[in-house]
Amino acid sequence: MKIEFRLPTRTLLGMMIFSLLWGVSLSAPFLAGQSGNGKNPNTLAEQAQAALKARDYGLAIERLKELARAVPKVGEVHANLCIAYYSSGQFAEAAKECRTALGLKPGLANAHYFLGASLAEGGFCREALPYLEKDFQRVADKSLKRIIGTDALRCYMDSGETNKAIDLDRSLTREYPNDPETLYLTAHLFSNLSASASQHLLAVGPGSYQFHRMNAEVLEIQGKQDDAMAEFRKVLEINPHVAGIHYAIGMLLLQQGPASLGKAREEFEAELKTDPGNAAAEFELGKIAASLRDKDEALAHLQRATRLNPDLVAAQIALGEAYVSAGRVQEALTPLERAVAVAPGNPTAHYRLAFVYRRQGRAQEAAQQLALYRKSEKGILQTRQKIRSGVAGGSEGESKDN
Amino acid sequence: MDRRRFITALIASGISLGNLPNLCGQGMASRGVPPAPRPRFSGRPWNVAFTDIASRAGLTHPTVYGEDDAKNFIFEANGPGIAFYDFDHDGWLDVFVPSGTRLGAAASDQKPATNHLYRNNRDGTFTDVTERSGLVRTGWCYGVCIGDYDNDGYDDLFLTYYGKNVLYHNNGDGTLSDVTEKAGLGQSSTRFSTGCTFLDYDRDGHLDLFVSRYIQVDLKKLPARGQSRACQFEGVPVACGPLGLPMETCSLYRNNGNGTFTEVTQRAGIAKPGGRYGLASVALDYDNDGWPDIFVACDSSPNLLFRNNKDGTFSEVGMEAGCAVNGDGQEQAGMGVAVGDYDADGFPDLFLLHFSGDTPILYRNVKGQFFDDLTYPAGLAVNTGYVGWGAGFVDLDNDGWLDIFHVTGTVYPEVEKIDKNYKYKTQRVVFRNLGNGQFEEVSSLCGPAVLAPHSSRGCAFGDFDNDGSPDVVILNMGEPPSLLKNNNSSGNQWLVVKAIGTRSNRSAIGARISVAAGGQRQIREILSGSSYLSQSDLRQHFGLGKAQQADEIEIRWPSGHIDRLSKIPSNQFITVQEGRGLIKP
Repeated sequence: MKIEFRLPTRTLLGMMIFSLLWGVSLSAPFLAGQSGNGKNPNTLAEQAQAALKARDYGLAIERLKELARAVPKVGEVHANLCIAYYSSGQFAEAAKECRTALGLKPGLANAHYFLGASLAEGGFCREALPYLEKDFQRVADKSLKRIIGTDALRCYMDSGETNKAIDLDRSLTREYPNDPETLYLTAHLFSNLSASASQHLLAVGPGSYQFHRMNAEVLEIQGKQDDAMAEFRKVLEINPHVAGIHYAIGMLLLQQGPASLGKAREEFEAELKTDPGNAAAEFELGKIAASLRDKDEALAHLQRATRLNPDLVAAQIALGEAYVSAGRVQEALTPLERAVAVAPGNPTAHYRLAFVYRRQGRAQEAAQQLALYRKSEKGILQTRQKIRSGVAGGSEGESKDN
Repeated sequence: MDRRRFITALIASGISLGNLPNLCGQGMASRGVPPAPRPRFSGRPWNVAFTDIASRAGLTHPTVYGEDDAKNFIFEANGPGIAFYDFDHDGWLDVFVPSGTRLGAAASDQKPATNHLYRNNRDGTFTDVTERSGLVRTGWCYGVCIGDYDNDGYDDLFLTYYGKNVLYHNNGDGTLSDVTEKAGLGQSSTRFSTGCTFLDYDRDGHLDLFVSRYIQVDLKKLPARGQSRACQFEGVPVACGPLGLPMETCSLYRNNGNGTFTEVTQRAGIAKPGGRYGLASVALDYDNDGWPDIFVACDSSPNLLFRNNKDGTFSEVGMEAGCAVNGDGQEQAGMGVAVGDYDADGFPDLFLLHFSGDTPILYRNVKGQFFDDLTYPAGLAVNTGYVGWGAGFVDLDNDGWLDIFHVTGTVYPEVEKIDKNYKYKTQRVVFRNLGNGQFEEVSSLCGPAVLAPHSSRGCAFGDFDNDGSPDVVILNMGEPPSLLKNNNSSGNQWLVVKAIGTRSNRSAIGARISVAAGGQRQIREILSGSSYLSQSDLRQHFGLGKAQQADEIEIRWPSGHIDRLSKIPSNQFITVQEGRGLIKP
């Protein structure tokens, strides 16, 4: 199946063309002394370069074709013509010119790269992949490597080579962790895998509790809370001992507002009977008790939650808050210090800890925590602003890894 | 995988493109929190009900503020405060109602909208004296605060505008004069000013002036309704902002003592924290050191607390003091602010209202050192569906404990036409103080005037009929104001204290009054401004419960002088003058 999202890649590639052109310079000595139809090859080459610089690909192709007629045996000319075709979206012509270039001069690396890219963009993945695989391993330029890699990833996905796609995706996300195109393809790859696994589950286990659980989770994400709850209940009908289901129902009930608080509490308690190690259920029970101003019960649940999972940051923060609320300020230190250790980027943890220090008269430590709070809050705000300006202004995502 | 399947999978994984505006905030900071469960009702009787007498009292002019069914720009949506203002000093509260206008109104045939001043006829009715008093003015009026800046014995009126602010001098003969330019408060350009508060920050006996501001507005550049995905609410195009628009700075003007002011914003350190989306501002002495500090409730940005350094400068300490953000360190959309010592520990506390999807916040003042977010333990997180604006700590039933009254109203009238669950007009909210650090909502026990839906903004508190129970005047967008008469049948005792400065400013703004009665001590501070851009009665009302007298009254004046009175019988209005003590009755 063809993937339609190739424009960003070509835009980036277009921006790279100038440096590539210099890599196969047309003003090199191999043009000297040659003549064709009366026009000076060097003049044609200069005109072609100027046209490419102005992104006037039509004119560039015209000049390069003239140049190819004038000096038909120069591989670099065909390589550049290939690049110009590629830039203008004429992939079949680009591939043809790159093949000619390689026939004339097999060592022309750029012709190799663009042959793979042109074949991939043109939809000939099977032919493209040998070029792309080889080039991805050997190319040194980081930007070009990313383009080759993402082309290859698209081809693997198109041709159903899932394992190779996963391996390549891991390499790409390791090397380009902040590249929007790579992240987009990663999302594509795994949603594809998710969809095919769910379809397989539907085929092999339509009556299984796993099927109902997955269905419930999807319905929950879609905001269909009643349907989701009904599906979770079916899971329990099939297997009442599945861990996590009472918890999920409890969370759905919490979303219904204060009137369902009692029922939610029953679900969390049922969850703990099924899975006594569920720290999240203890945490929710602690929050419910706190909201009902039952300080002792809140403390008991939150203490258990943090014992079960000391890295549950929200529970550590809530425990700290519960201690402060109960006037046990000294005891609030341990959970809050744990919270900032586990999640040093969590502004709430720093903020709460700052005011515990403040209560104890530890002004310097309080100031330090407030500084850390400001730093982590600033980071979150910056991210939020980036998202906001991206959404509001529709700014084009560009790679930060090049 | 084709695009359709891919998007389906994304939706299933919760990355729906339709969620993006919410992900980014639709214009104001909101946390999307659910309401906390309501605690079991105390069962105590509540003897307060309100009646809206505005119409029969003659408060009849609707407040024009942009078009009624759609707001193109944020300055049309936010709306103004309101004031109880005894402009003629007859001991009966008059009412000042700010007004906006409509874009393009100047070119239309309609009579221009104006601010209104209603004089109290002392019989439950009011007379519109706008023209006679010289207060006719068309524009986008926002904030109102009063104070006798020239110490001539008549409280003057300051108005903030999206436009140019105005200082009116009270001539003492029922008229007021625009003295803005003469006083050195003129502006060369349009600015979006919001809150204002008179204060004597240098304690020289002359009232200085603080002005908070919202956004930097250039109408030519201001994005129009729905211009980007961020200018949407529930998928409906709405006025943009404040998020995404440039923040503004506050200003401080020092009174030169000769009827003029000098801007000292930079010198005093007010500009140092930079811009915020500043709304309500109020001067109060939060740390009880005798020097007025300044609090600014900020929309979608951290609140500001300027601590007075006692040398003509301020330090912004909101974050260090714990009142810039909520207890989790999250910024909120601060609109109005109430000031009052709800737990009677001698330190003024703060209560702020926010956007829908969030709780209000109760900042308990911990010995003047910092503030604790006690919203949830105090039982005030039970509503998250309202957009809250004006608010006050006020002892509605005279039991000696400050209750909370606040008004609500959303900002996007156009959404209501599409989403039936969205209401532009919403009810008022009343919380009774249980006297143990907790509150319980009693709105439904306060009568239909409280439950009536309006899109309200400012509200001010004062005893307009001098019956000993505090009443409420409320600004409603697109409608006449509400005047809620407090029908208090509790039988509790009360005392109202009017203070007149001599060495201190004549309005006694900043004076701290402490009343001991029935084994309890209550404090009030005379405030200029507060609530949402509003001015409440400068007289201070105390509920005394069953106590037949105030055992002791102490007044700490801004000059530092202290007057003490003892054994003052309840149920009366008294006047105290600095250095002379009781002068009336």
